[in-house]
Amino acid sequence: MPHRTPTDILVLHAVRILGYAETARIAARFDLSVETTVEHLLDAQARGWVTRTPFAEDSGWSLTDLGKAHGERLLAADLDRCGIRAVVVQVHREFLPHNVAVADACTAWQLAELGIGEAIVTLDETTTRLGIAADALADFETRLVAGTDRFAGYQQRFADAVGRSSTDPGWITATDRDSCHRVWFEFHEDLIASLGLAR
Amino acid sequence: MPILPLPDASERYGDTLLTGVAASPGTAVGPARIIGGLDDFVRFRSGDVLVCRTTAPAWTPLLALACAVVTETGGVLAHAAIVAREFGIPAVLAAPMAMTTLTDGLLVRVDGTHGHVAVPNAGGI
Repeated sequence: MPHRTPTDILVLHAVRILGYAETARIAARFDLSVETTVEHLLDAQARGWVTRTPFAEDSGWSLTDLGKAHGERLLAADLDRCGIRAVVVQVHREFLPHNVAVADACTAWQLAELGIGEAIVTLDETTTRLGIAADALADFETRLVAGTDRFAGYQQRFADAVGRSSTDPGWITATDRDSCHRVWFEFHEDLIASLGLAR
Repeated sequence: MPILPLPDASERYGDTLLTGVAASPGTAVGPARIIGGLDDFVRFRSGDVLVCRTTAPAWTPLLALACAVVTETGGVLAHAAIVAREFGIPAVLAAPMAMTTLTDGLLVRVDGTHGHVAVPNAGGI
């Protein structure tokens, strides 16, 4: 049975990978109750690990530098507890070329839409390239989830975004929804945070 | 009528301070805001030029408020470039020493089409 990461770590980690989010979205990220999430967020706020910041017309939680460092220490210990550090290192290594391919597919599509791309890019071609990444992500997730269940869900979200992209290209790079780029960016941040790496 | 060559960025905008990768097209003028980490986010204001080493998911709200972004690392495929294009703001990436060359509050013109950061001419253009 896969390891279940303690709730306090999950709440802090949700803030890290979402970057900036309101309470309900943080709770939903690891299927936690809002009440429990608020409790942990307030505790983390008191310890200086998270801060509630107003931006434009809303407000949300984000990590402080202290919280980022603390979260990485907790994740490192958690990774060692469930014994999958080597798997995460290997997945990250295999992820990198796919990361370039996804960034390239997203960029080529955006530049084509802006009318400044050097090559002719079709939507079919773009979703096919993203589909290859979705297959790779499925394999990564299977290997990671065998060790700890907190990595579950990326492949489904990414595959959903790829599927929606074929009729609505906004799902390739939009920032206001679980687009291909947003889910991929989040997975990348998850690997970086788990291994304590810098971008 | 003879076709005049397009003047380079320094002629059009004043002194070029930085050159990097043209990662998201367009031009914008705003005060540079040097953001070293998460704790600096509170200093960021709508219409600022985000100047940083690189970006992560936490930085997306800043990009949503920024009039332009300049980073020291990355390139046309970087996450920061993809998000900048999504928000329709100019981006100059891989501009070495951007965080030390620019000073906080300095009014700059970011040309994401040509990859230049310059002092705006009189009138702020």
